[in-house]
Amino acid sequence: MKDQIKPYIIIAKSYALKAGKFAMRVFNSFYTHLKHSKLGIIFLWSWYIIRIVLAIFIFTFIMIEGIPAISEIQILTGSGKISPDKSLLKEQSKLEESLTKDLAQLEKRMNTFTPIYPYIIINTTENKFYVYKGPQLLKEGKCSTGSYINLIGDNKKSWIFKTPRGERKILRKITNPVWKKPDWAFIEEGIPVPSMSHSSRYEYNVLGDYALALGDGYLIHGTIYKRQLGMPVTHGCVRLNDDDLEFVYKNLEVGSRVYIY
Amino acid sequence: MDKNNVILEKKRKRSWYRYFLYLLLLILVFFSITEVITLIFQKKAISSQYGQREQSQKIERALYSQETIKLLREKSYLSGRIDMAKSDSITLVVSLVDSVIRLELKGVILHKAPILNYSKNRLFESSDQFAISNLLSVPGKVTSFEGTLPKEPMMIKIAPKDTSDAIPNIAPDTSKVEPVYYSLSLDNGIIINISEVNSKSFFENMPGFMFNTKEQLQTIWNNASDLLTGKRPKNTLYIRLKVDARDGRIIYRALPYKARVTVRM
Repeated sequence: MKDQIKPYIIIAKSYALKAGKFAMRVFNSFYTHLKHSKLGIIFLWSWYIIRIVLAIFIFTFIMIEGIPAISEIQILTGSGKISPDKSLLKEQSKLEESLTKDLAQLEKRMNTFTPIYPYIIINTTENKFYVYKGPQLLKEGKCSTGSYINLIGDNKKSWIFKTPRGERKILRKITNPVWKKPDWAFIEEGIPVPSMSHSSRYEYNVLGDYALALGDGYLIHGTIYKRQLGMPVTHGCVRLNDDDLEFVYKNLEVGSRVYIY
Repeated sequence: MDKNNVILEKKRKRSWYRYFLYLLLLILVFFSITEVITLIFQKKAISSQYGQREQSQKIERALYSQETIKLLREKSYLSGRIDMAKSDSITLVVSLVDSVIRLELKGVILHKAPILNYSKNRLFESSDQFAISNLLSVPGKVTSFEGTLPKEPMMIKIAPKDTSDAIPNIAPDTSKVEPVYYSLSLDNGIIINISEVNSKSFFENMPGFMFNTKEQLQTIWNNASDLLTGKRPKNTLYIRLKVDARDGRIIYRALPYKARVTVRM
């Protein structure tokens, strides 16, 4: 049987050899042709670069994907040098149990941060406010916050009109508030600054029916410029429309939290 | 003679091509190797800084199954948030698990935004998971802010000399919006890159494109100069987040310069 096949094998070998030689000849002529033309040289170089880059990528891929994955399996399942025995599994479940307990405690602690009484959140970028009670949203609406204007006075004194970010508390609740104009209000209008007790310092009916003091002269109050609600136009206070102001005034108490961001 | 000159000229031209290709090849090889080396170095650095010591390593690690690692990360995340809640400033919580980014102040959620798309460095997956859990267990502190939009849109107004000089306050133009592209570098080596998802044309989006390109070139330059000066190059532990432009702007403006950030993954 073997002897019968032998001549065929010899013929097949010679054909394969011939085909190989032919392929080499074609390749050589193609290669020489390529080498003698500009485009050909560019093509050969590009191909050379692509091969090297591909080799680097394959190497990188194996480095990043292959090897760490193998070591990971060994580490996490203990299938490497350490085989997970029964005592280890017991320890593992103990650890899981204690971690679950810790998690429950931490979650409980995290929940205590949210005030249970109504609080207000003010978004100064979008000029919006949100009143919450715990996780429940009670009211949302437009407001006006600081304009980010830096007013520079004559004697190089300057004021930045921005609403301070952070946590504050309602320190006082005022009805029918009167605005005692600070110095910048006169300087901004080009009016000479009067004495502190001068009658021109007092303006009535411009802050709405209510005001809530946040400290450092900042207030949540009403406005006569209702069309500007939703825009950054104030000198640092928070302006609300009449209905929203009434809601806020009635729902927030002295000590209620105000979060400004 | 003329023929010879032509041949010489041709040869010279050809040699220029060759030099150019050599240079190109050299650059490609250099940066590919840099990339691999930085990955290896960073992995080792994470393991040595946040991983366990050799002695108890094998035994203790065997205790941590996929499930316990998950619980451990959850614990790190909550402890991080509680730790941040003790401070007075606004903090950032990036949760890749539920694709949400949050602004928190004293544990109260101020703003919540969905992460529309994200990508992260493969090192987070391929490195020692125990070390990564340790890395994420302490909130990172922002060391630098860079972005395409102003942190505080300040406008300067010079006080008028008298009433005739005074200009009445006009409502600002809120229709003008800057593209939202920024990155926060944290002290633990993580860089959080936040950008808007948009359907703007290439030219409208030019500042964003420039910002990203500048950042990438900066990384390449840093790595290359580190390698050339004999320092260990760093592979950036980046997290790239795509959010709505509105949310991105709110987060950027609200975060203080040294904000603390907790990442959950």
